[in-house]
Amino acid sequence: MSHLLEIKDLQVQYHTEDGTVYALNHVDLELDDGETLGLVGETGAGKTTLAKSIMRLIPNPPGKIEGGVIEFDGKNLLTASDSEIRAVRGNQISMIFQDPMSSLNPVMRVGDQIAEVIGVHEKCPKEEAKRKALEMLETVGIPAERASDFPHQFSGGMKQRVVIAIALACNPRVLIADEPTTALDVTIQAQVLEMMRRLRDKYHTATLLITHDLGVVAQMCEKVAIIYAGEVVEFGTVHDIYKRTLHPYTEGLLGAIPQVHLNVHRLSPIDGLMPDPTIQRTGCPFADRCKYAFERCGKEHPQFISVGDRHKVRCFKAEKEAEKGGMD
Amino acid sequence: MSTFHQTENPHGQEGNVRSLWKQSVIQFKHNRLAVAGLVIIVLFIVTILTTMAIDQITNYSFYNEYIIKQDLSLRLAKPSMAHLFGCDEFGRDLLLRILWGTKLSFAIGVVAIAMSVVMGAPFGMVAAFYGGKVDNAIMRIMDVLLAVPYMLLAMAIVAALGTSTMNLLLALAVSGIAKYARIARAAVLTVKDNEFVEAARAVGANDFTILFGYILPNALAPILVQVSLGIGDSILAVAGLSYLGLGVQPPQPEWGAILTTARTYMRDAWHISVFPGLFLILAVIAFNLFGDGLRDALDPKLKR
Repeated sequence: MSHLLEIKDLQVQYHTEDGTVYALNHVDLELDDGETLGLVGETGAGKTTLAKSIMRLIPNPPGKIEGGVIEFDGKNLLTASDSEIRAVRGNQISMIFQDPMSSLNPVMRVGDQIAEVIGVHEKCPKEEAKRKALEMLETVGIPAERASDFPHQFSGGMKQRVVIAIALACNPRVLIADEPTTALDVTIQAQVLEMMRRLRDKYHTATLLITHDLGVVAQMCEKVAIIYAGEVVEFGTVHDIYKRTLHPYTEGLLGAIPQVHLNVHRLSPIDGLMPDPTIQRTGCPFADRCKYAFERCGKEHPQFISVGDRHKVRCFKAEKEAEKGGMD
Repeated sequence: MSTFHQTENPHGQEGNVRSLWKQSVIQFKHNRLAVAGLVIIVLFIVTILTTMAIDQITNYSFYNEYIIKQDLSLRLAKPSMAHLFGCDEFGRDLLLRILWGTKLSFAIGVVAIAMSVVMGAPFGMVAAFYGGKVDNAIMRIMDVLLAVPYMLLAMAIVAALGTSTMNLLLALAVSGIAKYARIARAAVLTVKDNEFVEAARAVGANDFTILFGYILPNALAPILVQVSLGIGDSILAVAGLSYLGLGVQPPQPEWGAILTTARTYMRDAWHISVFPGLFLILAVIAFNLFGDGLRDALDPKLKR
């Protein structure tokens, strides 16, 4: 069966003066219509690089997509022409950036900014685009009369609502949200997430939610991909990831979440740091920090194997257990 | 681009809700020297409009009668109540000649800068926006232009094309291209890495829209400041070239041209060199004060 968005064997590298940074190594990922996929990983794991690759926004130089396929609706985005990709951006696939403070044009009225996206993609008269922009603004919970305000007249949460309005203005099929709530405080976070969920259900938009907050993932997503050092190490449904955790890194991430009902003195962080991305390794990139690591882990690179219906993992320990105990 | 009306903000945040420009205007008003500069510039502009209006209404008979017509009985007359600034070597009233000369000195200075910006800034913007080879190619050509001193380049162009007001304008405009290309490039470089530029790309805007709709309006402030400071230099250059005989030709009154003839009579008639010189200084200082004030007002880091 074909997926709405399918990433196969994606490799992205940054060629800098200090050497080549292997940002994404053989990433496989798929997203179905109307589904929400959480992409979780620590800083520098390659989450944003992955999002920008889909939009073809990797700055070149220094970044370069070295290989792989990103198939959207049966079409490879990596070989699309500039005008084809522009027609996709904002129209079929939209992106919400991390910092709403800086992702709006400071000298343009917000209404005009929303109307501009509509104007770019839908060949409609200005009045029509303007009317749709006001409608969109109301949808995200901002009174239409504020359309003539400038971005600096809005608070952070309001700005993120405007950004979301811009992203959804053309009713895209895929929404990529790159840490949409990281720059907001907790109460506003909850409001924005609630609104995103409501709009997703209303427009039936498939969402790729990038975050490092596993709590947000549990609230919002159906599927989860855990990314580590430029590789997807575990992929599955929320239930698979949280209840049938296979990869030691996922286990470590879950162990680092504060549990309100348990009386523990300290959280248990994962020791060590992510490996240097400028070095290509033969073994598993997590081996140095893994408490289960055995000899094979340091020598061979694990394959991304299926262990369940749609549960996939890249780990020798899980592989061994799957062989031994059979699939559950 | 704005299709929306500015409405009163209904959410009761009026206190700190000011547009960027309004805030800059308030900032500018606090700077008394800058306001003084602006007042002087406005007075000069009023002078220009008045002289032009008189020329139009009298169909140049006033101009011919008082600005051009010689009266040797008043040759090198000292300043008096009848002729406040005295008269020049042909007995023409110096005050009137200076006032009428404002039009030429100012107009050429301002238009030359405007042409420089229009011709130069797009090169710099494109260079900064695309970077890499495009940047290198454009900016190395600009470096070649910059390597030749401003005045020398303008002189060479006038010498090659022949002396006329139009050629003077062209020469000054071309000599300024490299300067404004550099300024525009620097301004665009600071703006283009902002997230809203990437966001614009992510909604499918093309390069032209991004460059002129998103980057240019945000990079305008430093360019405007340099323009206002540059006008002073430009007026000086017009006077300088006219002084060398390469600019405005007699009998048209132009400050630099008046100064040239004044040099011959400096021992006997001090007033012919002092008054046009003072006006020149006044104009340049006014633009510099205005430009300084503009820079302070538009720089968010200097906000108090």
